[in-house]
Amino acid sequence: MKQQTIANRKSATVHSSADTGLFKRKCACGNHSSGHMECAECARRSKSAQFNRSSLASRRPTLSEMPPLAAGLIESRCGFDFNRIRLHGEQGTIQLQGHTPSGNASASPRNSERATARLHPANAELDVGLKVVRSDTAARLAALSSDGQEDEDVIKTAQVGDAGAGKAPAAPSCSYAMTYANVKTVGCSAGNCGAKIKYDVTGVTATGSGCPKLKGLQVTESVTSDSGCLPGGVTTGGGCQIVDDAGKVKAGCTDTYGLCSSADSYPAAGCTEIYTQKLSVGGVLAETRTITFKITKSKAGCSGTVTRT
Amino acid sequence: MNGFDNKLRQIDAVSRFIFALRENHRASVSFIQADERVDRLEAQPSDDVDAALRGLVSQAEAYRRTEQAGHLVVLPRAPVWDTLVADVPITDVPRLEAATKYIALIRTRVPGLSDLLEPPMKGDPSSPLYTQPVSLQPRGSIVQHFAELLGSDRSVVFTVERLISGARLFYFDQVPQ
Repeated sequence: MKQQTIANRKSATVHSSADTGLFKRKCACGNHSSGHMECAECARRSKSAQFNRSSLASRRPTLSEMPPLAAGLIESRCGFDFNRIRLHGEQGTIQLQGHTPSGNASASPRNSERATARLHPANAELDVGLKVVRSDTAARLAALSSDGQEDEDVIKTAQVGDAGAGKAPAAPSCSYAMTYANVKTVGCSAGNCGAKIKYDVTGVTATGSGCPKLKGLQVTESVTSDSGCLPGGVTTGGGCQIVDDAGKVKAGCTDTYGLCSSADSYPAAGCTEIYTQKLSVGGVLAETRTITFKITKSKAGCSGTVTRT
Repeated sequence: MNGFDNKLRQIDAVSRFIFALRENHRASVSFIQADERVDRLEAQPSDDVDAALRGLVSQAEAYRRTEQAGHLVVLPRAPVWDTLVADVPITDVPRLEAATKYIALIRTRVPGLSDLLEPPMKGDPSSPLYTQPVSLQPRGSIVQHFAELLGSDRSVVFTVERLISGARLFYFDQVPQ
């Protein structure tokens, strides 16, 4: 699945106009996004594409099937949830083909970005135009690189795209750091083996010339697990609001993460389970933490420890 | 993310199918893993969940599908899951606690489920996944009671999965909507 997604991404090249910065969905042979005239070759290919479309539809990934980072990148560019839209690319084009209800859709502008979407009801295709002013490249690259090697292709694409646009790379715009207090570990409830860690999120510091005002931004997080001890996803707490521009987080922003289960559910030799926690400020990745649970079983019983780094 | 390659789990093609339906198609389908292992499936998960599940149960003969209390469940054909359980005293109890009590109850009453383990808590213990109050009918089948543990939240699903240790683990998950 992951390999398939990467392959799809590699085959989809985004074309940008150097002087306008406008991404265009290049029609099979014409500039479909700026007009509706269709050349003969285009019409021929369109027929062929329509024939192929039904057979391909079942294996095109939706945004929800894409790695969260890639899907997030598209959404952050557009300020619009394209979750039900299928994305595919071929022969140097990138196309968004969708299941939008009907009519026109347009995404709200966010920062300096503009996104529009136009649906062609006859063939259920959606033209999407993105205009992107690249003022925040460094922050985006930082967010991309934090997700590991898999995203190198995306990073390279972004860098090439910048050069192609004829603009100098932007200076690092903003980086965030979180502050915590009252970190403590607590045990699980009676009859359960494992551990919990509890701490307060007290503040956010923002460094860089491009930082937004912090007041009102939300601190949010997503957590995944390697299921090293037990199957199942990890539940996360709700977000917390920053109450002033100094980065103070609203009082009572306490996180607790645990792994608790009956001793019998853990493997006899013990196990280690790792949660990966991604904290964001205003939707921008601020830091990544690792929460490690070690479960030890012996004749004496079962015990757990937890560390957060 | 699912830990499919984890050596502690006995993941087969049916498990992968159900997890793909949940993650890629946002389908809230609960699942009880059968003892029979299915290594290969021709059926593909899709947005048409009903069709996908029909395809699944037509190829994986050990399985059937049902709808209980408004929740879709794929489960083994084995009749143990239809066992009627009476005198269930669980009313308005937080979900994790309710499931823990119920599984402890059926483990002692239903011989075929003596290896079933209570659900773990992974992550934030105050999450609604664990704290939403649920009620079970005083009398009902096991699969019906499992579905009632999900309450009215259509994003919550349960899984019963056999661990490599041989025991079966009941656990909750949340499907992104």
